[in-house]
Amino acid sequence: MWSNCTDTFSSRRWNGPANEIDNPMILCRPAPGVLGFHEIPPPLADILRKVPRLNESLSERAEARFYPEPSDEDQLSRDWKAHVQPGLQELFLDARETVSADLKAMKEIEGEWSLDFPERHIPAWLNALNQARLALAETHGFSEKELSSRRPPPLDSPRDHARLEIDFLAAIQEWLVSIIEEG
Amino acid sequence: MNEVHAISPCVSAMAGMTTELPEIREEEALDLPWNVVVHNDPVNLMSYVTHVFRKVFGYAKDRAVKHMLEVHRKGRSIVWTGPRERAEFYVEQLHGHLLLATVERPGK
Repeated sequence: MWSNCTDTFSSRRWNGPANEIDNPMILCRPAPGVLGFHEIPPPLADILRKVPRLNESLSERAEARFYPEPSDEDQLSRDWKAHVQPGLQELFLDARETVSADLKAMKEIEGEWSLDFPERHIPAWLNALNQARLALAETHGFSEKELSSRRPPPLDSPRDHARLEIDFLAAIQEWLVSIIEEG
Repeated sequence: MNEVHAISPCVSAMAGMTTELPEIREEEALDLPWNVVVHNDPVNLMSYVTHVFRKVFGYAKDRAVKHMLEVHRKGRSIVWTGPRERAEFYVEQLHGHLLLATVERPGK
């Protein structure tokens, strides 16, 4: 069950600044066609649980980012809003629902959390993680410079926590992309 | 969506006229290749954007990386050029992956 697990979260970003996250979590393939997040510290498990809910009530600014104008032509934009946007909303909702259902299977083992989910859910996870990161970034108005910084946030404010969440979810996204790219 | 730009019935009645009609220019524009442009944003990961280009357009990794880096460094990249309807389809796909993408008229 625990074979083929690779510790990819040894970065100090997750271990150092908060003092509350003192163990890296493990990303692995516990069985063919199955992906696992194992030994998830409780603060990171809380962040994961929030993923499907982070864009439930989008600000106007976030809404504009989720559903950008397709063109500078007014008529096309109006048609897009009427005919394409509902399909995108459904797509985003489906992704969040898939992830939400997977997260319900998260189990506590000796104070840490563990989650296995089907590899075929990777597209839904990538989409839901991106939604969550975009919603956080828009809500807190992060700049590209801030998000590109390699320095771990100090965690002095809710905004710092939001950046930690964005970075953590990005690390999972990177790993899922690498799984797909490796085939 | 494209019917917005369809030629109005009056155009056929005016077929013999030589004046430049906006509708005709529109028709010509429809035949020209349109650009799908992806714009930079601070949140999407470089690896994710590369992955999306490969998935949506079927690009080889090198080509996908080239466009991703162009977006990152120059703020935008024309990732595909072709018929308008197909361009709109690709923009819809890119929006579905939460990338900032637009369809642009030829010559813009």
